[in-house]
Amino acid sequence: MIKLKKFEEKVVPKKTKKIFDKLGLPQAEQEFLAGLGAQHESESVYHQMRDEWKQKGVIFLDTDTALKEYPSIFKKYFATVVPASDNKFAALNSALWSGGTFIYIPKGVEVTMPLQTYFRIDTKQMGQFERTLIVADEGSNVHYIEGCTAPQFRAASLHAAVVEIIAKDNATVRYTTIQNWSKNIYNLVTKRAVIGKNSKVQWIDGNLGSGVTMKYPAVILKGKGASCELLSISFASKKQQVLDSGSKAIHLASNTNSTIISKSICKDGGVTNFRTFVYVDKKAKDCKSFVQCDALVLDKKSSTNTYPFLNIKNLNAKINHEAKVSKIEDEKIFYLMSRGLSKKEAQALIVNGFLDSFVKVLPMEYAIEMNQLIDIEMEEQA
Amino acid sequence: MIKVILTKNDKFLKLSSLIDNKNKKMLLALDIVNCQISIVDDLIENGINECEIIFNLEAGALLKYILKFEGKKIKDSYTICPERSRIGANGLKKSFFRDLTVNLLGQNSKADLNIKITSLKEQQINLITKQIHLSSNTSSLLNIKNVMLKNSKFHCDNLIKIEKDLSNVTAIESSKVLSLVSDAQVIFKPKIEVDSQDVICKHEAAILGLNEEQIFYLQSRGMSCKRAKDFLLKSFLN
Repeated sequence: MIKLKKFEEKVVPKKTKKIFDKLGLPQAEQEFLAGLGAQHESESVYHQMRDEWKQKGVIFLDTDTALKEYPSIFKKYFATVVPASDNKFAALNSALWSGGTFIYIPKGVEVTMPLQTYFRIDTKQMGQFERTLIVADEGSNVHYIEGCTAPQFRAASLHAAVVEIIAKDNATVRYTTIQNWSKNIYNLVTKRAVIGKNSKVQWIDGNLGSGVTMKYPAVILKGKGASCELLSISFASKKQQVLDSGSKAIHLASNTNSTIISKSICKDGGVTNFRTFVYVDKKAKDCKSFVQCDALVLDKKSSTNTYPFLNIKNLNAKINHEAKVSKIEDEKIFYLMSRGLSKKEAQALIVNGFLDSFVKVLPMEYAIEMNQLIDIEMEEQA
Repeated sequence: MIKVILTKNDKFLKLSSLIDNKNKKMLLALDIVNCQISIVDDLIENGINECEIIFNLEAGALLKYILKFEGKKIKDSYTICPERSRIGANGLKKSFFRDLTVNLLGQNSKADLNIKITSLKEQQINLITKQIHLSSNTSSLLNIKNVMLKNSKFHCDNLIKIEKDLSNVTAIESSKVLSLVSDAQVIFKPKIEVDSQDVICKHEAAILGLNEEQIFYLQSRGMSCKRAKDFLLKSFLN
């Protein structure tokens, strides 16, 4: 039986180890992960993977080590999806990047267990500029999970990451991220995937914390028959908290499909913005795209905005877009209260139901955690 | 700018009755005070391609606006609005531009806007709409349907805005495009900005083709393919 190297065996700063122990990461590593990485501040402190995947040629390392050990693969793909000139935060990240994760899945290898990296900022006025590069070769399959947290300080910190995903022909990549940064973090990230023939990318994005988030994961559907699914939720629960999220699907090849589903909730003066961009190229025939954006406003102080943009140059496509903004209906709360729930419990239950389509695609452990996080956010309601 | 105040006695209005024939570019402001009115936009038929119309709905006002444009030739047009240059005519001369703003100022006001367009070959249609709710118990419904033919372009920029501290507000916008060709272009830019809680706002956009099964069914009932397509087009617009 292949044994997994324990988290404790690695040299991890004592304080960091304590936090990771509290979060149950060593246990998670042993029970249901193929590999685990952890980044503290701007440095990667731990990256370990089960031997069975190492033997199959899977690479799961922090970017610094990957560049030293596998320079030919790393340099071939690095900055090909998000170049330094893309936007000012990508330029900043390209100039200062440190840490992050590099994953390479060889041809035909299907990693059945998820790989996970955990990011934490513990210092005030800190900048975290990690770089994540995922390359899934032909016919491979991988699920990558990312989690982010930080404690509360008076001074703000910056998280300006760049994530690049390359899914070659017939590959499947599932990227799950749940950010629960503290409310003084500026989370300004650039995330993009380029996918080939018949490949599939599923992007699952949960935004609960941070003071300001600007995150628009994009998928460029370059190969025929490629498909992508972008699911995201935003929960703005504090005054002056602005969660600006959205998704982009760029159809450059025929028979490509994209599904964008976004759910946002705002309360206590929070602001949620949703921006989508769907582009269908002239040469791309028979494309399908579905965009859905639902927003829930829980009180009078909060506001929500949606700004979709559809640019369709080939009208053989089938495009559907729908957006809806509403409040929790009084009738629903009344019904649940008549069944014995308090008003707060009824509201929390309705919010959990509203986010159900997002939560049910998460792995079981994360789905439970997600429900708990939503309950905590709801309990904080004044 | 032409400013008109519509009161209780007004039930039906054709916009062409307000225009001065010499003026090819127009800005119309219509204040609707406590009346129910149907307005038919027949400006294109009277040679006015570019027009900005502002509807101000006072308390209890009810507006029904209808714009029908079924594939007629448009004369060469000129640029008058800054928005027009922003969205770009891209060298297509045969274009028309309409900027509609509905300000729901008073309580219990209601607006129902229907726009049905058939774009001919190489026509560009630019449509900017704004549904601005400034009072409680208001509702607005915008319904856009467009049939697109070869090389035509359709640029649709919609805004729904709900101001602060309003209740019982409903705003719905629906854009549907039926395309018979692949070499046409559609740009949708719908926006929803909500600063109140007690609202229902919806936006939907769809690009569809003719349903092959429906054509086959109609052919099986004795219609020719061309007649079946015409029949389905008419049913889409109505």
